[in-house]
Amino acid sequence: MNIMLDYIASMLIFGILILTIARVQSNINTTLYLNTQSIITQGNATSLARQIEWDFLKIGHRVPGQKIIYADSTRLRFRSDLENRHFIDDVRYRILSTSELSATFNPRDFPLERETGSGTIKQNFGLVEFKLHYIDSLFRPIPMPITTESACAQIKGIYVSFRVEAPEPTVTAVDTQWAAISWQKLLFPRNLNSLYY
Amino acid sequence: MGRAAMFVVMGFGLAAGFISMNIRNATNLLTESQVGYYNYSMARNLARTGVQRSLRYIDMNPGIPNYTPPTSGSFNGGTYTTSTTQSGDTMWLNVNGVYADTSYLMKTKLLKSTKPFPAVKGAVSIRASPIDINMTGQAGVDGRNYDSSGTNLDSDCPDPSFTGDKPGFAVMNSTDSAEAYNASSNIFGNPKTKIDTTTSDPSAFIDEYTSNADTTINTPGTHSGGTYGTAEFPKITVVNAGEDTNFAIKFTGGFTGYGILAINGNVQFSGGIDFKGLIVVYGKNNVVDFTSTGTPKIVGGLIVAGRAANVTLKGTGSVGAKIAYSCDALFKARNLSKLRYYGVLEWYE
Repeated sequence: MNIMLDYIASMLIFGILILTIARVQSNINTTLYLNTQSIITQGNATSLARQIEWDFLKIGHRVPGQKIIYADSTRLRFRSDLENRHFIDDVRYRILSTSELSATFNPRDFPLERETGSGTIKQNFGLVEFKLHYIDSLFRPIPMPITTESACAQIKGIYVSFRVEAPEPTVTAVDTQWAAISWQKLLFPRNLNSLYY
Repeated sequence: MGRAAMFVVMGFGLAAGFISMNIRNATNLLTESQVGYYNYSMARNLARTGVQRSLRYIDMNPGIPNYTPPTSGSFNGGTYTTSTTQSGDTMWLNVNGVYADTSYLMKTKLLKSTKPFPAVKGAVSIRASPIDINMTGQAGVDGRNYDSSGTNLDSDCPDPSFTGDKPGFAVMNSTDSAEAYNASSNIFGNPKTKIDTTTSDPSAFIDEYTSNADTTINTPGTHSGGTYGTAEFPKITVVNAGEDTNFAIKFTGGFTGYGILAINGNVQFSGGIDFKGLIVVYGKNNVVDFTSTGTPKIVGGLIVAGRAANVTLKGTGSVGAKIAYSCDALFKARNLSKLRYYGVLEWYE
């Protein structure tokens, strides 16, 4: 009888232990998942930030004539010797619709299209917001769209802001959340003669 | 049973270790992502700091042609290296900023330029009316082009925009021209006086001079003079003298200077002045009194602007006071380091 009681007690303790471990494992998985989503989002945000800085800070490099061709809040077309090889690229940035990124769980994200002489790339950074604003030499906002050569020549600074979210949601006990990062910066492409030293 | 329990415990231990390692790796990745961008930003800022520092080093050594700034430096935990090549006013400056394991390279091609400078139309250019000119003793105004010492006539001019002889007085209308013409027989120039309404309005330049002033004199009273700039390092001096016609600011001692002297209001130099460069007097009713008992000497140009102007030039002795036009002195004033800037011809980063 005593042996039976020992078996039952040990099974109970084992069950409790297993349940506890399962719960811990579940929490750890959630944490790992959260971390993974965070890593993806942060990686995407820093990659996009670096790409934008790399491209936009070169606007007009070695371009003798019109440096910016077209600009509005979601599109920018400019010319630049991007690779510093005496070859002027026609670079276009624009955002596409959310339907172009239906593979992700996030219903709000949309791709960014970057077109250069080397080709067109549709990039998935998990963008849910992407805004461009332009200022002149007196820091006054320039009305958009900016289409004429004289209006484009007034652009001296570009204010970029975006928000990146994870491709998949993080389901918590109370809500569905998305790991997200916002980034904004006022860039002064030096080749637009925006600054003197 | 004991052995089985030991295996179970070891199994749990291994599982916990594996999970813990995963969590740590994930945290490391997250940190690397953040730190990587931070390092990149810091390296870029260091490269920009290197550009700024190098240019300021060059500005601080205007007397050394094609001065090479230090080729390396450190700031805020990082370092940068620079390489500079100059040809005339064009400069190639490459800077590599390094922070932690990240580097950032900037390749720049810059053009050294000067900021706009007032148009000097005569030895004395007056953009005010009416005027009252008083010249006594051996005082003279000479619009012929002198060298920067003011002693020898000079046909050369390093800046074509200043070249040639100028009038002694450039004034706004015929009445003022007559007033200046009759003030003294010691007026020289081509011609002696001229009506020229294109003398620059100095108000467009005053903010620049005020914000870049090496010396600003605001304190009312009598000043014993001093040295404001040298031939090698000309300076910007601003005097806020106010509208007191009894002269709130008086310089009783020797006033020696090179560069630009901007005077707001009425001022008296009674102890002698020896200034090479541009003097700009701006205010409402300007009274400029060079009543030196010695030999006041202004080589370069004098611009007076406002509603009215009263210029008194008095000199004793055989040489007398003199305001002489000098393209060379104006050129040096125009090119003083604080009025130079670097425009971007090419910038790759």
